Amino acid sequence: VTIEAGRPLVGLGQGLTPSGDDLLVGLTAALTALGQPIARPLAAAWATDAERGTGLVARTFHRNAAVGEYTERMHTLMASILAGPASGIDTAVRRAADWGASSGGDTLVGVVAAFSGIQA
Amino acid sequence: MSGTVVRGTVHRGNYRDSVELMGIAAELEREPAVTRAGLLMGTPANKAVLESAGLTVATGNGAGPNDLIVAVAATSAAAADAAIARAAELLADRGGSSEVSGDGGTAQAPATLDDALGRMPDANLAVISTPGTYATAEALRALKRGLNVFLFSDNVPIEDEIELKTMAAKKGLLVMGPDCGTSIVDGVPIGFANVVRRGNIGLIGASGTGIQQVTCLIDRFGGGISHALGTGGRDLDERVGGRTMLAAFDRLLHDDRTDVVVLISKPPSPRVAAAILDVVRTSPKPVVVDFVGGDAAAIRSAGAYPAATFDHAAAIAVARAAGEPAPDAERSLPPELEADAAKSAVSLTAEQREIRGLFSGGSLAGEAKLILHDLPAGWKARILDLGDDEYTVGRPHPMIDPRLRFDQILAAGEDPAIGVVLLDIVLGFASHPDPAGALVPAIRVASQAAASAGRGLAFVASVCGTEGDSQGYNRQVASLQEADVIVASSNSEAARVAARIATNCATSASTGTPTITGASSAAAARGGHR
Repeated sequence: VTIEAGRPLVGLGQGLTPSGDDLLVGLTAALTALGQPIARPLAAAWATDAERGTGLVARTFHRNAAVGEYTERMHTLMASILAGPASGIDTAVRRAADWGASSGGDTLVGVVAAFSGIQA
Repeated sequence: MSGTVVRGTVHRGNYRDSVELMGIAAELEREPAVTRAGLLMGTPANKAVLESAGLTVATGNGAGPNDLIVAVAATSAAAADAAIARAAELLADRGGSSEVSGDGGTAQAPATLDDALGRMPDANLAVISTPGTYATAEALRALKRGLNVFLFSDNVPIEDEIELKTMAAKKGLLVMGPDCGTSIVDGVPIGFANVVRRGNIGLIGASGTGIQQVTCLIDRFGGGISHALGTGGRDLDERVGGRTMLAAFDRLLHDDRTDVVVLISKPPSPRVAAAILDVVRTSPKPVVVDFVGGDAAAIRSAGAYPAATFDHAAAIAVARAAGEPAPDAERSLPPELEADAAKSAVSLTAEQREIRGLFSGGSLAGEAKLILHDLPAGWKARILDLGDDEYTVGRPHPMIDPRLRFDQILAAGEDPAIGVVLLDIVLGFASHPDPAGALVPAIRVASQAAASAGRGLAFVASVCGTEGDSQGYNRQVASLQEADVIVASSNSEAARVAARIATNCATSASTGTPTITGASSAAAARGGHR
């Protein structure tokens, strides 16, 4: 994962919070939960782009990500993923996916990208 | 693609929830001439995409990241312009409900429960629909302040439900829910409910659309409702023990306006059923029990009237409320529905042997499943409850948002195994403003698809609602009938029409007369059915 790879996604896609922004925030949320030091610089770089590159709501999510802050929904999801299979991952994923029209799904794509990137 | 016209407009500073944006896009795409519609924020990345699609009209207007761009591709300029105009209308329509009122004056919604109680000190009921995680705390707060609770929220742990209901019992209060969708308290509808006449019949139900169907039919049969109290779907679970149903029953027994009580639930656990029937046995008021598919003998021995279906429950309640004897369950179909069923059966091929139920109401789906349990050999019924969690992830309930059913109906038109599509159309507060109208285009397309493949496709529906509902019962029925949908008077009757189509096919197949007339096929089927 590189800063450059994420840049074109800022402000891209449908919805009040464009899909690309949701994905990027999900990605850095997962990287943060996994203790990856790269999470913060990535989030900070994309947050800078987001200042001019996306709408107010998505920009706010980016700003918070840049200082390592995520929604309670994301925290619950990460906690249950990291706790292992017996911890109600299904429910947490379902709740995360339930957010907005497509934002939940878009965010989960970012989460999956983070996990598969780390495993590879 | 040649012949595509692309148009775009900018709505400045227009903040809409994504769910609404997608809804508007879907509605625009429903117009056949519209090939693609998108509602996007005017971010640089989105503008670059639009420019590469030739949509400089919108981007040239200098849309910023907080502005909403509506982009439409259509087969003609007129269609594109019409879609753009329609989008503007829809955005204006929805403005009232979603925009935060900025006048800051008297109309501002209270921010806390205490704030609300300060303004309305004699309130005795709190409606709670926060996410499940926070709902218990809010409900406890309300109970502590002496308020009854209508708990719309789902995802409330069962331990919390037990705690809330135990506390409510101590304080003599009622907790309707969690996951309670429907109540009518003292004539005030809460959640999904219909406009029904007031009267002397009280309902307690663990199922939302069950309550809606029974209250609407009571209204249609000339009766009226004193109260209809939802308990939440889990109330009759072994662990919760029917706490709310028992408490609500006690209230209705002491309520002067209630002369007859109707209890509705999926079959409860035997222990809970026994506890409830023990109390029913002591009731001086007539009690009708519809434990969808439950043990009729046990109900009868408790001195109550077992109802086989929701319309049977409504019919018994209305008769008893007027001091008349309880009628038997209706098993025959009116002649016009017999004729429709016969006509449909003739149009099906030998491969079309599936009844596909596409339901928005869970209890209505359950009732249909029960009625269609026993079909002629070779036939099967697949009844889908599209309001179930597995279908509603990331989208509103199908009673509000018709898109999922729209697509499922289209798919049914392409499926050579499906002969009958069974639908419920639920009207009332909080439901879609025109649920039948929203599905009719899909029904027409699916019928056409089946016809051009050389087969028939029967649509059978019932409308759960009243003429007093904003959607209008008669208007909904008429728009279905215009699309050649067979409209039954109730959900169970619709299921019986579907079953009759199946028996008609089986009868004509076994007698080797594939083209028998409507009347004789109906008579044969009726004879064979008994």
